[in-house]
Amino acid sequence: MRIACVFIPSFTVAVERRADPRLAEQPLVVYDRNAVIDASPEAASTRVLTVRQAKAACPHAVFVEANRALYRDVTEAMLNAVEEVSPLVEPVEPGAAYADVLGLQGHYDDEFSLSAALVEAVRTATGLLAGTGIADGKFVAWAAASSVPPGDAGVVPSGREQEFLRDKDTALLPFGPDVILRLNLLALRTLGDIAALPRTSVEAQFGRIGTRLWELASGIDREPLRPRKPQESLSERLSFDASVVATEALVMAGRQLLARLLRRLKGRTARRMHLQLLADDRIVWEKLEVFREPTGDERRMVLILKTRLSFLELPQAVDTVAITLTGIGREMAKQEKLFADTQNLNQIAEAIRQLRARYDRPMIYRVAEVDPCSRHPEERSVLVPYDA
Amino acid sequence: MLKAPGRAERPGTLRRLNAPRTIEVRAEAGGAPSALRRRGRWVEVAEVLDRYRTDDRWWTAEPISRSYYALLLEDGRAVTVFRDEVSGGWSEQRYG
Repeated sequence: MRIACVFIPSFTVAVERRADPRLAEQPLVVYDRNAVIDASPEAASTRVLTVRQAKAACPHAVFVEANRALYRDVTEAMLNAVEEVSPLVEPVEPGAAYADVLGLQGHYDDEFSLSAALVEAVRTATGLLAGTGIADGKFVAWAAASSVPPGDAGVVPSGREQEFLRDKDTALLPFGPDVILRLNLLALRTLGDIAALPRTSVEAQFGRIGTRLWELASGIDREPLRPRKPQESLSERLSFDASVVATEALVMAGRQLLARLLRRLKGRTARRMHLQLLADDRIVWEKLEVFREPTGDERRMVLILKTRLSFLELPQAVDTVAITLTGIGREMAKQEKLFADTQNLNQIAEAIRQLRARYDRPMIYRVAEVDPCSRHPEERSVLVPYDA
Repeated sequence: MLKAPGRAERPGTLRRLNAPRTIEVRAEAGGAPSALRRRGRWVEVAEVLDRYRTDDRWWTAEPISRSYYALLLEDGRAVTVFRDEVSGGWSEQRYG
């Protein structure tokens, strides 16, 4: 197993700085609701604080509210770019992915050239500089990628994982702060310190996670790559000339978008509908609607859209409506009742009687199950006269 | 219980759905069909997709023993046929 890790450090900060280059030289804090989710290195001390605490600790920093829609789009672009180099890609978190690169080495001079191809693909697609790491196993690849500056590559040859990890900080381990703190209290500050201990001692001290802890510190990571499945999605968005709050206008826009999407759906069905209302490219409201069964029925989608939007109380005006359909599947037919209109049943019964009288035999039949579980299809159901 | 496939039903009686229809088949030495005669012309079998056997009512005077073959024909159609191991005849099985 040869795994590449592609990693954009401080992803949200990098995306915000790309969107507004004026932020490049300033300490930057990205927050969502009341918590800091990322910060530039100059404001790194704020990373675990609330917004109020962060403002007190770093008053000169610029505070930017997280733009999840933008991060999602950039991550998607990054994953697509990595998939151009290797078809097997597993998303890890926004701005990080693993790729299976076993067998790709033959296409490049060496693994550094392969890493350079990954960096270039991501840079072209997103404008951001990623670091890469290539190793046997996800954890070592991750450690290699996060220990090099953006744009560089860390390649760990097979069999030298333990040597590479020896002096790395225990904070690299994918465990919670309580585990890292406990390691530090035991004076285990590097991964080499943990690997030097007998495996059983670590297991005795840390219980169930002890095995994984010792294995990762020793460069053993058998966790397989779980590549994402290619998934078709259809998106449409509509922007207003001026911001709106009236839900009627939003419903109208939504209907228009659905009409466009249904044309592109071409008789197929969708499993999920993602509704988004945005202002200045930031999500004001969003809802992921999962249909009870896959549908391509415009009336049903419009009904759901109206139900969701009609009574919505928006915190602010929005300028864009976006709808994405995912879980695209094959055409599906739904069996309707032949005689749905019960008012006409008497007329139908009369027509059937007249047909029988005219031809002297039943002309209209219905299907009746006889032995639905039979191994012989012809024994499962029979046709009986409709008026029998 | 099971009547000979392809027999016309009398008016007014219950009609079976998916009744097998007698069909002409050219079979290989191993028993699998190699061509079917459909609408007056022979169509080659491109691939045997599945085969299975059913044996039923062997305790009665009218046992059922069939070898089913799910076939992909050269013209792109997928059909299921079976050989009646009692009578030796071939039938096409339809599914409603």
